[in-house]
Parts: sequence; structure tokens; C-alpha cells
Amino acid sequence: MNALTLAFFLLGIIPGVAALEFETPSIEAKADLSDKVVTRDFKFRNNGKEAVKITQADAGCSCLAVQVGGGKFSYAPGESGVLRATFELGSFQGTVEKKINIWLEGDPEEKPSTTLTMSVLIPVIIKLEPKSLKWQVGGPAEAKVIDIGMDYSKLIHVTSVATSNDLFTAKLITVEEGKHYQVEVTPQKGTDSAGLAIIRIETDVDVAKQRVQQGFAVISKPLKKTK
Amino acid sequence: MNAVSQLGVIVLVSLAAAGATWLVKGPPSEPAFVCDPAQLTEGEICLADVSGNVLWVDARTRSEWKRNGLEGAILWNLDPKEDENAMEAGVAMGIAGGAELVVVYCGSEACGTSKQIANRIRGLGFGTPVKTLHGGWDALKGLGRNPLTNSSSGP
Repeated sequence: MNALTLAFFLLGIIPGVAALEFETPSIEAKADLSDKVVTRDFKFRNNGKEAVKITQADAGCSCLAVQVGGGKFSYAPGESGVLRATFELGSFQGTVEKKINIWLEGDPEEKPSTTLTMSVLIPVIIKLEPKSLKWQVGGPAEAKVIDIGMDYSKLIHVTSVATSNDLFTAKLITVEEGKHYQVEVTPQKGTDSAGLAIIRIETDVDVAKQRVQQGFAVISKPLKKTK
Repeated sequence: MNAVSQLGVIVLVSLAAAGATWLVKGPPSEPAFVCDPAQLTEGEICLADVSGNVLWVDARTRSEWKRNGLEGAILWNLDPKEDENAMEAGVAMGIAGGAELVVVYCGSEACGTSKQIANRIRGLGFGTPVKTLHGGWDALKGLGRNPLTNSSSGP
């Protein structure tokens, strides 16, 4: 041990020569509609010259469990291991990206050694376009339409449409049974004052988490211009 | 005395001085987060530039939101155990309530959740500007539950 290394050692600032190297620090996973969880493995190797110990792996979400393979937390130089990430899909649709922070022994709390990324693509089978209908206060109280498209192997029927208050009426229009619908929304009390209603759209799809969709109808003042 | 011994003495003297300073002055205070506008990525905003009728959206966990979320902040995170429709509706009502700006924050600068939530809010199509707070919670630490004088009230 030379004098410089000894000095670093005594001062407790020896550089992080020990490090885990992950084969793929970012993983994308496509979920099936029937999946309740998606599991992926992050393989790593200790390419440093010192043994390392994993002290914490945290995704900041109860939806993503991270386990170190075999419950083994210490890795000698050259040794390999696996971190298994298990993501619970719940009611989400679209792409959800989660970060997994990995702390090794000696890492400061605010600075983990490694951050991994797991992206999960959850198919969207009922698409509302647009999601929100807008009217301006004092503007014409004309009817506007939310288009509902189905992208699924089975027919999906809209079973009910309702608004959260009586500012608006909503009428269901069938364009193609089980495939394509429209909801025509009208501000039935005019547009004299601002207001919002949630348009609740229920379907008979067999994927429970996507059965209920929602859009919005809003009467608002013109937006101020911002920089 | 050889070089190693000399270094040892220097280090011991330094440690003694550092320890004495710690005892007299206390531990070093946590540095305040500094937002450098040059480091802003697309859709980000510095806390100093947040003003007006703001709707705060907390993209952290429900327990963190409950513990110290900003006054009026609405929870919308990417925890699949949450009811996304309810969170989405909460934000929609907040925007319809007159917010001129929506600012989403999450746990730290490294947390990417706020950007994803901001995209989902933009996708609602209300047209209200939506930004993510540069630094996330690090930028808000120690500022109390209402870092602005004119933020919107909420639940």
C-alpha cells in the first residue's frame, strides 16, 4: 500500500473501486392483458477489485418488489448474481417506467451506486379520443364527441355512459357494434359558468382493470398565455 | 520519520481538527438545492419560476404524500395499487378549478415518475401548462408545506 492510498484509506475517502456491472441496466417488458405481474432479471457481475455487499435495493413503490438472487448480498471480485424485479400491474395502462436504486455498503443514503430502469408496456385496448372535451365560458353550447375505439381480440360493448353531474348530457352512439362507439356530450345548461363533469364509460370487457374508462367535459375561461 | 509515518501524523492532526470543529460548530448543514436554469430539461421548471395559481401534483408514494406533501397537492403516482381513474379525476378537477400551471414533483432529481405523470396530465388535453419540478423533493425540502404564497388550495 503506497502512501497516497494509505492517506485516502485513513481519511475514509477511498474511491469506489468496487462496483457491480449490470449486463442490461434498462429492461423493457411487454405485459399480456392476462398478466398480474411481470418479472425480469437484472444480471450483474462484480468487476471491481474489492468484495461488495448490497445493502438496499429500492424502487420507491410497493408495486415493484426487488429481490437479490438466492438471498446472497455479498459478492467477491468476479462473482455474478441476479436481481429479480417483480412488477404488479394493477389498473395501469400504457407504459410505466420504474427506477430501481441499488445501494452498496459505503454508499451515502442520497447516492446509490446504481440505478436500473424497468419499463413495462401494458396494452391499451380501449382508447378515448379526445380524452377531454372543452367549451369556453360564454361560447356556443354545441355538442361535441369523444370517439371510443376498441383494439382487442374480442368484441367490447359499451354498457353504460353517465356524467358526474347535470351540467352535461351524454348520449351513446354505436358506430360499429363491439368495435367503435362515440359519446356525444352537450352542455345542457349552457356555457355561462365554468364547470367540469367526468364522463364515465362502462364496458363489458373481460379485463377487469380496463372495464371502466373516463373522459372529461369542461367549460373554462380562456387560458392565460404563459411564458 | 519516513513518508508513511509523516502522512499518518498529518492525517491524525487533520482528523482531530475536524472532530473539534464538529463538536463546536455541529454537523455540516445540508446544502440547499440550487436550480441551474442551464440544466433544465424539456418540460422542467425551477422552483423560483413557479408562481400564480399553481396545482401541485405529488408523484411520490401515498405515505410520503400524506406525511409531508405540499398543501393542496394532489396525489398521482405510478403505483398500480392506486386507483388511476380517481387520481386522474382529482387532477382534472384541480385544473378545472382554475389552475394556471400544473407542477409535478417526485422524490428526487433522479426519480423519473414526475415526467411520466406530467405526460399523462398533458394527455388529458386541458391545455394548461404542465411542468416537472427540477430537483423534485430535494428542491422543496425544508420550505414548509406551502412554498408559494399563492398556490391553489386542494383536498
